[in-house]
Formats: sequence, structure tokens, C-alpha cells
Amino acid sequence: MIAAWGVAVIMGMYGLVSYQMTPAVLGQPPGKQWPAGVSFSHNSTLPTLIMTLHPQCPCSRASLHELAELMARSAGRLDCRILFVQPANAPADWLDGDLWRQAKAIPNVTISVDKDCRDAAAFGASTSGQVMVYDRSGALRFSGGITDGRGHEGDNAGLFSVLDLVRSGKSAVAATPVYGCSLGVCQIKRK
Amino acid sequence: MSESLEIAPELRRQIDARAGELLTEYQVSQWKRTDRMFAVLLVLQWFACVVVAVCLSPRAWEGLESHIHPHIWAAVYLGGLIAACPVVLVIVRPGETMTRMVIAVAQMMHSALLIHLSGGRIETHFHVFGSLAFLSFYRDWRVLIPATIVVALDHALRGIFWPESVFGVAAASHWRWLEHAGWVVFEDIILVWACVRGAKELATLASRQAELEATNLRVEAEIARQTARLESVSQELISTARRAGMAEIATGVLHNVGNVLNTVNVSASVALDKLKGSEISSLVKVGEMLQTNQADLPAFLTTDERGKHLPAFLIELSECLSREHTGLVDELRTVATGLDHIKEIVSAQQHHAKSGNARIRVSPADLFEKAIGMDLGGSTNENLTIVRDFALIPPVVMDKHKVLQILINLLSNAKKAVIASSRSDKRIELSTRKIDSGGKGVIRFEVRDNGVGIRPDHLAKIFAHGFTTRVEGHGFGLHSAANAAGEMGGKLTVASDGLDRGATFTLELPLADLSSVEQLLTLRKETSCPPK
Repeated sequence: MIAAWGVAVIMGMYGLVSYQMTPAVLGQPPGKQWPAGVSFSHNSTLPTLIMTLHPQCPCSRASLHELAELMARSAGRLDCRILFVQPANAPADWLDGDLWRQAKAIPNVTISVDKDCRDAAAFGASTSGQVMVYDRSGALRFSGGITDGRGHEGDNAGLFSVLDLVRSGKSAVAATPVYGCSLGVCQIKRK
Repeated sequence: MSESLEIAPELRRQIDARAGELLTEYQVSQWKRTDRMFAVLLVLQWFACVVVAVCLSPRAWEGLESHIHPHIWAAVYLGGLIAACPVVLVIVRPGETMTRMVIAVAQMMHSALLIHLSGGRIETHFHVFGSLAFLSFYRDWRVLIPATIVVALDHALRGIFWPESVFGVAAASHWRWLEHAGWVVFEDIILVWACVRGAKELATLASRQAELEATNLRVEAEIARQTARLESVSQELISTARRAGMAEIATGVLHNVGNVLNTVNVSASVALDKLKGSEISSLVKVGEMLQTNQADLPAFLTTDERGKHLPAFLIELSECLSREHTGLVDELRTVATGLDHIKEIVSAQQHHAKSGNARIRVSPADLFEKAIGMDLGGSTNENLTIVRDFALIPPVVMDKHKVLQILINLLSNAKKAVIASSRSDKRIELSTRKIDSGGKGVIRFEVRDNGVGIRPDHLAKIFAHGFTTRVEGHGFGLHSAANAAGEMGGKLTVASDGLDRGATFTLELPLADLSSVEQLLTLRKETSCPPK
């Protein structure tokens, strides 16, 4: 009985870890340059970071945590904008939640509501927590997640890549897996 | 005493065996208690996992669509599964080694689950160290082994396959798990030391308990032995006390009887002397003279010189014989009174032996007079002056015989004290008073003499048994008098300014409470007229 219990527990833990380690679909930006149709333009003096967020996604809490860490380590050398997607038929309290408050608490970050997922679709984002970094010239330098698992805090390859871009203008890794909820409607709109 | 402290080898073996039993009892009790604690803790942790999952990850989203987050299912099913086996083991096999080993593994698995559910928060990792500390409650360092193995394995495997999840660094060394496991081992070292020390303390406790039990047994046996011995000694003491009591009573009776016999003896001697010197022989000579002259008695009475003086002689002789008679009657009355008092002493003692007291209504002054008659009546010392200062006190209820015996003792001593004194104005002052002492009535008898007095250092022991200042004394009279006063609820005290300064003995007796029904009945019985 004890052995069976041990095996069952190990299998359960394996399933949990597998779920957390399985990345979501990484949306591909339409090109290597700042996409057309985006409602705002990139910063010409600083690298511009875009993070798309599903306002109800619990896994993105870790993404915002890492973003706050990133902003703190960047020391003002990064223009950051968070896009909270809002589908056309979203309920009234769609944006009201922990993520909104958590994002508002991060210093030097621009928060905007992406109504009908237009900007997210323009960036080709499909997963909450996906980050895209463009340099001063508007060239795409990084696309991916800044967590190492679904809803898992801690240092990770995405975070270090963005930091390298901010500090030295170059990074060995241009794309990392992204872990988070699907943006759903936005994905459909993009198609 | 040293004998009781020595432990025989056989007893030592028994104590050690008992200590072993106790240690096992303590350990099993400790393990079972900790098992129960962990059973509760595991269930609580399970609920905590569910709460954490519901609060942090209630639903997973795809656009506008959502479903229950897999973390909730993991918390419910995996958390329940982790807790189930150890809880069942606690119920069916409490205190067993396997149970606490499984608990150790489950506790660590709960740590892992919580870390996952909380999104890998570094703070949640403290659960691992807290769990190790909880496991040390078992005081069995072996439970730390499976717990440490689980942590080490988790870190080793994840360090190899998913380093970011455990070390937060993607390019961490494959051996970095050793650093993390090292901190666990560091805590383990402290906890193992604490467990070993705790186990030693438990063993010491068991050993002391065993020794205490053995000591208790020995003490109980010793108490039983001593109790039996005490009982035997007690019986002996009671017997001795009874004999001593009888001897004391006999001494008291004899002392009092001796006092009275002294008076009787004096009176009897006086009567004998009076009889020896009686003028009755003169009457015999008169008879012989009349018989000789019987033939011519008228001539003898008228012509003979002797005959002519005979009538006057007879008148004088009759007066003399009358005085002798009166004196003899007085002395014989004193003898009779003395004998009567001896009878009363014996009777009182018999009565006391039966009922404990003989309380009747008497006048304090009458009691003093009776004592004077008994003790001073036969005194031939013409220089002795007796001064009476008796207050007018109506008859009160008291133990007549005891009071009389005390007064006789005091008067006897006073008389001896003044006789032994060289002063010419020998004087004994007697007084009775009714005084108030603390709201209660007290009758005070006082015997003051100007005799030889008492040395200050003798005052404190004057009432002690066997203490006397006279060569012919026995040291019993005042002792028994003081005891008798105490028995009546009163007290006998002495005062003296020193040698040749006289002494004052004061007897104070409480007035009887006449409201007492018992005493009223006693009074009625005592004062009723005897049938004629």
C-alpha cells in the first residue's frame, strides 16, 4: 500500500510539474520591425518592452513579478508598456482584478487597455505574459516569456535576455517559451 | 540510613529493566503523540493547499472562456493523496517506525506541492525547514533521513531537468542541488543532535522514574515497618502511661491522705496525751478513800481532815474531768473529720475514675475553713497567726474535693514555710475574691505567708513533678495541685520576692456556666435532699 501510495504521489507530482513546464503557444510577431497598425509608437531613445496580459490570468502574476524585477534592475533604461487586452464583448469588471493592481504598482510602466485586442493582434501576441522588446530603431530584439514555468517566479532566461539587451544592446537569446493563459479572441482576430 | 541508600545488584537489575520499559513507554507515547499531531497537520495542510490554489489560481483562461485551474485539482487530489496514507497509518499503526517515515516523506511532498501552488515563492521554501523542525518532535533522528532524501532527490532531479524551477538560474550547475541539500543537512545536524539529546534525556527520565518507583516501594515498605513498630511502641507507651497514671493517682491519693493523716495523728497524739494525764486517777483514789472509810463515812467526812476537803475536791475534779472530756471530744472530732476526709478522698478518686468530676455548690469561704480545720487545726505553734479575708461570695459550683485538696496542700506548705522561718511573727493570710477576667467570673483563693520564701530560680519549676525544696518533701503536692487546677479549667500561680520574703499562692477557678443544661442537671442532683 505504501509503495502504491509513493508511486501515485510521484506520478501526481510529475503531472503537476509537467503542466507547469509545458509552455503555451508563442505568438510570432508579423515582422522584425515595429508593426503597423499599433496605436502607439516605439521609444526612439530607449528600448521599448511590450507585455500583453490577460487581466484574469493567474499565471501572469509571476510574469508581472518578473517584470517588476526587470524594471528595478533596468534602472530607467527601458520604456515599458503593458497591454491589458479587452475583447469587445468582455464583461464590465473584466479589468478589475489583482493583475491590474499589481501592474499599477510597478514604477515607470505605462498601462493601457487594448480594446478589442487590436494592438495585441498587431504584435502577433497569443499568450498572456508574452513580452516583445524593440530597440530604438524599432527592430524586434526579443519575443517570449520572462518566467521559467507556468506561474513560477524566479530568475529565468527571458529575464536575463531582456536585461542583456538593456545593458549591452545585445542578447544571446532572442526567444524564450512563454507560460500563461491564451489570449483567445485576440488570437482569432489575428488570424 | 546508609543501609537504605545502598542498592543491591538484583535491585539494580530490576531498576534497569524497569527503566527500559519506561523508556519504551515514553518513546512510544511520544511517537504516537507526534503521529497524531502530524495527522492533524497533514489534513490542515491539505486544506491550506486547496485554499492557496483557490485564492491564487481559481481559474485558467482562454480569452473570455475559463475553466477550473489545474492547481485546484492538484491541491484537492494530489494534496489529499499525500495526506491520506500517513493519516491512515496514524490510525491503524500509531507509533510504528514505518508510520513516521511515511509521515516524513508526506510532509516533504506537501512542501513541494505548496511551493508549486504558490508559484515558487521563495518564502514557501521555508516550509521545508519548518517541517524538518516538526519532524524532530519525534526525538528520533531517523525520520530526518527520508525527509532529507526527498528534498535532495527533488532538487537533484529538477536541477538536472528544470534548473530554473529550483535554482532560479537556467544555467545552474548540475551539482548545485548539493548546496541546497547542504543547508537541509546543516539543519539536520542540529536536529539530529537535538533528537539524540532528547532521547538521552528521555532515557535519564525513565531511569530516574524507575529509581523513584523503586525508592517509593522501599519507602512504603519502610513506612509499613515503622508504622507497625510505632504501633507496638504506642501500645507499650499506652500501657506504660496507664501504669504511670495509676502510680500518679496513687501518689496523689497517698499524698492527700498523708496530709490528712498527719492532722489525725496530731489529734490522736493530743488525745492520748490528755488521756495519759487525765485526772481520772484522782477519782479512783477518792473511791478507794471512800471504800476504806465506808464503815463510818459521816465521821470521816466531818472529822477527818481529808474527808472535810473531799466535797470541794470532787467539785474541782468534776470540772477538770469535764474540761478533759471537752478537749478529748474536740480532738476525736478532728480525728473523725480527718477520717471522713480520707474517706472523701478515696471516694472522690473512685468517683473521678468513674465520672471524671464531682461538682457541687459550695461556699469558697467554707472550703477554706474546712481546709484550715484539716491542716491548721492541730497546730501547736502559738506564734502562728491566721488572717482571714473572705469576701462575701454565694455558693458556687465547683469540684469540692479537688479544690479542698489544693487548699490543704497550699495551707500545709504555708504552715511548713512559716514554721521553718526564724521570724517570730509567723503569719498566714487567706483570702477569697470573686473577680472578672476577660468578661468571665473567676473565684480566686489566695494563700500568703511570710515564711522562708522561694528563690527566684526555683519559681519557674516549683510546680514541676519531683521538684521540692524540703528534705522530707516529695515534689508531688504542688505538681498535683497545679494539675488539678488545670483540670478544672483554672490555674495555680506562685509569687515570691525571694528567700525569707514569704510566698503567695493563687488559685483561680472559672465560675461554672449555669446556663449549661448539663450543669443544671448536676446541680439539681447534688442539691436534692437525700432520703432519710
